[in-house]
Amino acid sequence: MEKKSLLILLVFLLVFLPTRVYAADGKSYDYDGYTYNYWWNAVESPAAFQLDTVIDEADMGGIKVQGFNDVATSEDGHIFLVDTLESRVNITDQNGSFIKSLKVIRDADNKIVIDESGAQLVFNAPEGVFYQEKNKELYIADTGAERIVVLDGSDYTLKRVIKKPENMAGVSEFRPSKIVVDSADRIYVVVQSSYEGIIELNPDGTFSRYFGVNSPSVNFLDYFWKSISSDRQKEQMKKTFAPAFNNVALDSDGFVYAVTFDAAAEHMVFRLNSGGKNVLREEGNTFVIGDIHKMNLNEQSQFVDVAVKDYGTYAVLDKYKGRIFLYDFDGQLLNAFGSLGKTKGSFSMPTGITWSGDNLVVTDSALKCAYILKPTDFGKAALQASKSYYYGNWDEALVQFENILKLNANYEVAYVGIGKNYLMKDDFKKAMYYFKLGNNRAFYSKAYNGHRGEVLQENFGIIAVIFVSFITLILYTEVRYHKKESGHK
Amino acid sequence: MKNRNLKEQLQYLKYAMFHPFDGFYEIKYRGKGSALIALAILVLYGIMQCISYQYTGFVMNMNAIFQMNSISIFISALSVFLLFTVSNWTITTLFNGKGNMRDIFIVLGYSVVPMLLLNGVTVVISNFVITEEVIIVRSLQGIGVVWFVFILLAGLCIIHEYSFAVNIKTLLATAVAAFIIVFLGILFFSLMERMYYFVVSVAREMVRRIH
Repeated sequence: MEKKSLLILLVFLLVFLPTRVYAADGKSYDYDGYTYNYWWNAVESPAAFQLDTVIDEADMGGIKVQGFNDVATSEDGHIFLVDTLESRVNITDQNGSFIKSLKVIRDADNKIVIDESGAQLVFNAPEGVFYQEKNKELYIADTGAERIVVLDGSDYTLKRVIKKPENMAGVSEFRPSKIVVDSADRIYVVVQSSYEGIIELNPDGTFSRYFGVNSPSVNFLDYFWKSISSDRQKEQMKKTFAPAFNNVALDSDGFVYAVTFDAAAEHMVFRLNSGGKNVLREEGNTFVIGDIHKMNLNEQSQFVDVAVKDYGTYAVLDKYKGRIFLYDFDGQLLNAFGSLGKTKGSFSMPTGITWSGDNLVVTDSALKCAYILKPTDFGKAALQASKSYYYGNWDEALVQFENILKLNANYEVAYVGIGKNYLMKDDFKKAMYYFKLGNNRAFYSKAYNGHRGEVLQENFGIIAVIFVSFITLILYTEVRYHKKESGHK
Repeated sequence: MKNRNLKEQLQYLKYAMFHPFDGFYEIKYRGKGSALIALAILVLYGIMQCISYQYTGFVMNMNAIFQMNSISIFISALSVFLLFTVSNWTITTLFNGKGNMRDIFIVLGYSVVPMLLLNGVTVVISNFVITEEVIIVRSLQGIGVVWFVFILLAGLCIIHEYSFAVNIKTLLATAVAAFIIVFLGILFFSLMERMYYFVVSVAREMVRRIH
């Protein structure tokens, strides 16, 4: 009897213990992640990030929060959160502890600044913020007041105000929404729903040019109708405007990243060179379009913000399904995760994303909070591998990719990464094996080329013998045939 | 005797490949063709489609092999030919074509041979090529297709006693007829499906009431 109950207890333990261990080992993540494979099927994957901290009103020392519209970080770990409805910029440290909130601007003598109309200089519905490391300056796009406010990066006193440049051409209104400043102090301003591109300002605040005009993709049917319609008909048709950019970011090489969610746009994410051309690499299994919509164009991802890491890995934020897509510098999707919803960690109307070290900070304009996401074990390995790969540390990348495969054996990126490592070492057979698992035809072909060369070299004698005997056979039959023919005549 | 007959028929198959006008003339008017051989060729072609789906070299093979369904590949490869035979026959009877269904089937089967052989060759070769050489394999396949189309056009001209222009016209009409057949087929099957579910639900209802 006792034996039997012991047995039952043992079975009970065997059944229930593993699940409890699993739940407590820190590997059950808040988000479900996925990637796309070669055939554009979604493949489950651990999420690269999980929720670490929620920054909400309770952390803000009694300051009201309506919802954050943009976020920027500085290298010393400060996080700047823009609350448009409250017209405030709240500053926290990297763990989300409140430091300061800006609304009324003071000058260096700690006096409240008075503008030319005699009123105090206060923010009016700001929508964007950017911290420039080189000059330690905080740029705030004060949208409602149609100006850019530049503050000192350490004590947040006023440095200067940039108003609408007098020499600005075009029809766009100067209502700066999002803003970045490159290391040459050029200011790139996104004006919502402007089809003229990003406004580029000189360091002194004068207008330089429109930057990176976004080409619309033309529907074949529209093109046909337009080509046969008269001028008067054309006037009444809907015009095809260049899709507007809605957010910008800057990478370590000074390239401007921009995103759009206009359904008419040809590309969704842009990496603009100094001439304003898109040079984004899209060498992955999928194009950089977020979720793959095989049938319905209205279900495409709508990117609201992009955050670029210094080794070219970038995260784009999709407001349509509340997802974050992580791409490496090749445009290969590393991971996608997140969802819309009401539970902790899900998004309602995500607006901004930025890197804070290896963490991501995501803002939401409907939820009265911002999230700090930190990489999971899988995410850490994926980021580290991507970094080592970018800087050419092949052996380290190999170790990381092998770690990743322990966590996710369906991860094509890792197989391809390992394959590339073996290809560098001229170990063609192993490289072929991994490229096949990673479904990468281009690199498999390179590895196979090497392998084929080796085999040909090793067996040169046999091949030469076969080739020579084949030629002799042909010659022999030809000669015999002609002899027979001439014999007949 | 029968053995000799088969050998002769195979010789005419080879002859039709290289001399389609003369070959198909012999096949139609001297009875040198065999529908059985044509059927065998088409079955081989269906099998070859399955083989090339799976065994084409990795560099050229974009198929998801883990979700391969050889039966559906086989049937869809053959049903195209069946559809062509039926729709071409329906059209050519209206357009005073002299060929009967057996003739059309034989022409179709015989003209597939070069495509079948070249497909076999390219499947083997594709395992030894790199991306830069894919174009060679593709052009071999292209030669097979062009050859197939040429023999088919020539054969149809002969068996229906058509000029080239009329032949092209009837082929266009064949495409329309094929479309209509497919449409009717889909209509028929979807109606049958509905009927089936109607009968099933009535039966279920009755079983419940009786209980």
